[in-house]
Amino acid sequence: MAQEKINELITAYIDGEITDPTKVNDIKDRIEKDNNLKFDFQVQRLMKSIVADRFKIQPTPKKVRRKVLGKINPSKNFLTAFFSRRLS
Amino acid sequence: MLNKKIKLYSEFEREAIPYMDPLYNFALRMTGNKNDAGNLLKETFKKAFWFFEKLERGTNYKMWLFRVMKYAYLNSYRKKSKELIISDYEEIEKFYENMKYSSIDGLQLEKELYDKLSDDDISDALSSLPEDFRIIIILCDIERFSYNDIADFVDVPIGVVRSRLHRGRKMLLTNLYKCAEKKGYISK
Repeated sequence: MAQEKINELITAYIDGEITDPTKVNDIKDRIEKDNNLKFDFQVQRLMKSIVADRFKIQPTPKKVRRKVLGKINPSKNFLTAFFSRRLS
Repeated sequence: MLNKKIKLYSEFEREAIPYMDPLYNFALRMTGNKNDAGNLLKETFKKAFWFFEKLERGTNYKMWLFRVMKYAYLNSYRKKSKELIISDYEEIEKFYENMKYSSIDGLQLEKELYDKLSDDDISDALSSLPEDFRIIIILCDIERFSYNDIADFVDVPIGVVRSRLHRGRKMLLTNLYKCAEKKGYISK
């Protein structure tokens, strides 16, 4: 396996995308024995957890939520159409 | 007719509306500002509701909504994306390799980056990645989509997803490390 390919397989291993136990054991073994691969493994795992745990998730602003629902809610649309017809 | 629409809406409310926050955050990361993100969200839900009636039941609604947003974004909001120039990536790779061969170990990095950087620093570092890499990291690490779903979403083979994730995370580390250096959390 080329070095670049192994590094990318480490990424897939961290993401739980490698299911073949033989392959998983092979990757674990290589990480254990090779300091460069160990560094790559630690970096990939660290970046994944930083993004997953620390990335700031913002709730949808109430005003935007109201506008979105107002656009699609048929009962609201019906009432808006009804009253605008009555007022015009 | 109205009753049918109301029934459909209540199903849509149950299946699709719970994904509003992840979609809003994705829109925010894609457009870069709250106003465009709000408009993109409105357009996405309007289109999604329009097509919802014909959608096969049992679909992965979350992925479907992200796809609707993707096309709405491509049609109306996509600005010239930050292209990753090869020389930029070579520079990142060089920086990364220097880090690897210096005395820094992964656990030391973890302490310095995870504990000291703020959530805003992390959001900024992710937002500054080129679009192709940013999208894949968001879909994998925040939205927890599988490689298969991501490949389908961005229309590339799974190998490309894996490679972009690998390189994207290296770029992210480089951005975070430079930010930590600039703020004096890490000595040069």
